[in-house]
Amino acid sequence: MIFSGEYYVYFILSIPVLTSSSYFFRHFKEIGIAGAFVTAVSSIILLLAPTGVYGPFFLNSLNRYLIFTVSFVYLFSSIFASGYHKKLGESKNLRLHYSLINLFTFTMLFTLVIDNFGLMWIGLEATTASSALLLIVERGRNELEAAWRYVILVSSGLAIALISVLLIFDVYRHLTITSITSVNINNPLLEIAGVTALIGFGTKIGIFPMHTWLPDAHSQAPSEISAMFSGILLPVAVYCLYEFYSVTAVGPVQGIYLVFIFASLIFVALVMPSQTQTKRMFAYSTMENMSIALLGLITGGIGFLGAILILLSHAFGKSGAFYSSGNILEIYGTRNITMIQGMKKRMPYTSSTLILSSLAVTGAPPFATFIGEFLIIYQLISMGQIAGVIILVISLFIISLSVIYKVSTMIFDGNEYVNKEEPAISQILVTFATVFMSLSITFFYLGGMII
Amino acid sequence: MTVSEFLDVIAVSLLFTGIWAQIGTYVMSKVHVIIVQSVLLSVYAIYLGIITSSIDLVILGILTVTLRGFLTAYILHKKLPERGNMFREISTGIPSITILSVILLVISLAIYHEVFFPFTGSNIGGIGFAMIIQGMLLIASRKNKIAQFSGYIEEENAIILLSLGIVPLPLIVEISVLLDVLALVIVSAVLISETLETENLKEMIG
Repeated sequence: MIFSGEYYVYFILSIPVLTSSSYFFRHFKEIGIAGAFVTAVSSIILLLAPTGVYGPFFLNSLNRYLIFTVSFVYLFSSIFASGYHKKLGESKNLRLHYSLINLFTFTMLFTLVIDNFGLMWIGLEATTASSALLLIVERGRNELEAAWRYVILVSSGLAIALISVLLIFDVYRHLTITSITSVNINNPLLEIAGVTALIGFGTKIGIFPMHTWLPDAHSQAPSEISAMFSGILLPVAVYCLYEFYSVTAVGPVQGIYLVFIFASLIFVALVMPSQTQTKRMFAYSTMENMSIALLGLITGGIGFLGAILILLSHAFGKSGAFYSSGNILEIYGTRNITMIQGMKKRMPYTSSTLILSSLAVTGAPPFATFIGEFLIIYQLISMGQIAGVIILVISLFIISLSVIYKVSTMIFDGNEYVNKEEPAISQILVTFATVFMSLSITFFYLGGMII
Repeated sequence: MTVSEFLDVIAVSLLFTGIWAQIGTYVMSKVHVIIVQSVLLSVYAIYLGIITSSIDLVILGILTVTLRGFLTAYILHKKLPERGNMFREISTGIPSITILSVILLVISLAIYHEVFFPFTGSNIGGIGFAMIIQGMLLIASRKNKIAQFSGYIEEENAIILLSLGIVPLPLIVEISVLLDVLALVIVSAVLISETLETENLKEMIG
């Protein structure tokens, strides 16, 4: 690296902060996209940097991959928004929207790199503050209701997570993550901290039964924001919960986490077949993906690698699914699955991205989600968690079948008399890019680049 | 009255405001709860800051009364329709919720005493913990957005009280400011909304 790692992290963090001032400039879209491009390129260099402490920041085997996904989904969403919101012109709403996307990205990157539990909590809470208004760019009645539910439920949940910070501080008398994780203290207060972290961060992640905001916010948000919520915000929350879990995993804490994770999977398997709207269906799929990723992280071993593969592939695959859903909404004017037919002829490019991204998020080979799920199942078997494996496999089967069936009906039914229509070329290219990125994770893994 | 007794009186008063928030359907009373609670918490923090020579706690108290007790309450008051004093929630279950709130109060204090107290040794923390539960009940049981918002503020105040009672966090001022910023974002979300009641919209079912 040209200069020290600490200043390099400061550099990456400063880019979205600077570009958030784009509100005051006429070329706010171009400024936003240029900033996102620089952040994405810089994140590749950070991906190659050694793990360790860099001043007030730190890089470990998990957060550097998430910095990469946050930066790239930020770039893709900035480009996608420029076409998706073209009817808003250069309105104040859209200027504010772009500025907040930059600030939202900054809060996520800050949460990932900061080496302090208190500041990590502040960062994650700030993601709520910066993203609440992103849901209501067009000020629709549904959007306003979804934004309200999002902000009131998530902020209430995260307030519970603050109890964990308090209890960890009470035990260790400091909040530096790298120092705390290197010391092993067995204190009953940490068990309580582990449970309050699960309730608090679990609300943000969408763990059952604290998930109620998630399908509403994901389905009503503009598609680039749904992609950012699902692809990167929720993984950032998973990362936070994992870091808290790492220092509070004493006594029955792991068992409690497993109960909630499997309950989430069963819940998604029960509601998925009855879903009638595209984005809501993918929102529930996000709950499933996050539950499995968390499962991999807390079981450790080879499951940890499985979780990383799922988080990487999911970030791009789910972004592709939400961008595709946005393209469909633009052409068909509805989210209702039964009213969307004949996509194969009417939207041939979006049909391809929709089916590929659906395969990516449901864990079909050759996508890395398949490898990740396989590794996590392998880890569960080696731990003797046979009941868990059975629940996981049955849930995955039902969820995958439901999603693929619904997507297939939209694409292959009713193709008789339809004319070809597609959204802006930038939206199609971005959607293809995300699907390509999701697929390429498999080859990065096979090439030994993800360890 | 000793220092400890004075702080105890304020903390218990805060607990009573938690119950007050559950009673009645007049929305204006929720705004009054926010003001009274924030002023009480502010007095608690400033007094504790003075006797422990902690400038952070004094700043925390001043920020609490300014941002939460005055600014947030003022904006909410402006949002209420004409004759706001008479504006009521559309709710039929208030008596049951009030009884439930008292039952939850007793249970939460008992849980704190059994689970937390042996390790923290703080009685004030118990009041903070009970208020968190009361705030969550207010959010979960009401449909009016201002009533839900007052639940959020109560939870926020409770977290600060819990921290002051158990061990003051080094980042308490920053956390408090962030929570207030978030509160103002929430208020702005209410302000641009057409209705003050949460709705069961067709696209958000299932």
